[in-house]
Amino acid sequence: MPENLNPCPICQTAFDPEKVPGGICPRCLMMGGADDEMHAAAQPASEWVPPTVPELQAMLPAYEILEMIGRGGMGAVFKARQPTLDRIVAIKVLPVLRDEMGVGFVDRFKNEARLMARMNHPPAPLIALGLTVREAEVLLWIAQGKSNGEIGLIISAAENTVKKHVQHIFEKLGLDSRNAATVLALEKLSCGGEGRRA
Amino acid sequence: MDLSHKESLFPPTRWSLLLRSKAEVRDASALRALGELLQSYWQPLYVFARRSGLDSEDAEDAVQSFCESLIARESLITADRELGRLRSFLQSGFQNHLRTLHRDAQRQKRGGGVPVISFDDAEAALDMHPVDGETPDRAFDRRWALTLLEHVLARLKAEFVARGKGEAFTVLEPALVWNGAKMSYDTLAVRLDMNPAAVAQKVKRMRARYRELLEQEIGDTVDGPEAMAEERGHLIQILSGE
Repeated sequence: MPENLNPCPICQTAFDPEKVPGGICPRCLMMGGADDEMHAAAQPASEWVPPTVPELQAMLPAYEILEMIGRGGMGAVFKARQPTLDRIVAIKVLPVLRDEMGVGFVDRFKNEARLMARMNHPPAPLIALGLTVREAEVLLWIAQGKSNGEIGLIISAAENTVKKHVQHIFEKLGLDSRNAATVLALEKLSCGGEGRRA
Repeated sequence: MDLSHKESLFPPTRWSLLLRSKAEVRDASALRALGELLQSYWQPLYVFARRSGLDSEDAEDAVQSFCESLIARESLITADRELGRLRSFLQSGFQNHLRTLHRDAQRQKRGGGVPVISFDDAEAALDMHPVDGETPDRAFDRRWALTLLEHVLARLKAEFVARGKGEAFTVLEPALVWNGAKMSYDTLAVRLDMNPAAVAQKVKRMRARYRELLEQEIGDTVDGPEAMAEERGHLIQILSGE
């Protein structure tokens, strides 16, 4: 009898649907079944092997990879030096995303990155001027010399939306130029104590 | 694969309880429980015998006489940690039994009374086509794992049928292992004449119940929760290799 082996779309184990209970992948069944959210969890953590330091070095020539400082089932973090800015950075490496892991995981990662970016640039003193969080963020980037288009890319908004934010900022603070806005923002941030001088 | 197992295949037997009961106090019910466990798991033994070179008749005889000798022997099950798993216990015991049979070079006489195992169409039900290089041990283990899953699915099905939801089970069973490429809640909903959200809920509940039954079934063949985790790991490993 010819073997009719098919790889399971979830765990890749080959099986013949005619010869297993329910025609279902027996390995997945033994794992307790699988739902759309569970696929990632159903994979043993050991299945994802993070790159070694030399491997990552080959992938990221602009950095000097120093060591792996941590890893889990869903990623690993490396310590590295960025020679162009002469600073130590952390590089997070994620497994190649499976379809089943879905957009949710990527979104969570982006949110995490966004949140960290905000923590680095607390716009609290700017919000104190009567701006919304979003406007404060935009003002912060104006103070960094970014154009509306660039700000749009950074905060994931359309350029026209950024333009609106800029208009509101100007109206609320009684300003008429980006330079004036920059000066005001720098003043507030340095007085606020928490912000860094840009 | 035929999943229409009789209800009697799923008695509340526990290998660990059998292990702990002392020979003197092992009463008729314990022996019956053992008989039922053996009836549930004769297929792996049969596959082992066939892969070891026995023809179908000899294999049936070997399994039958082995099970009878287990039940007849007074000192059958001692509280030996080595015997923590029903699977290992049966496998090593059966291997010895085959050796004895071979040495005697004659068919064991069957004991009196009712045979322990009824071989329902043993050859047809089993995949007897040898996989290249598969040893009797591996064939036994693999058959064991598949038999265990069959029992769990049959128990789950029996619960659905008891609630008059046999058809729903047939539709939902494949969703135990969700395959987004082949199924959607929308299509399942059409087949069941329900709304997709209700189907999703049903699938979720079915999967949770399935997991409980799976743990119970494995738990019934081992002694203690630690052994259970180990056994499950072993079964997953068995099913990983092709």
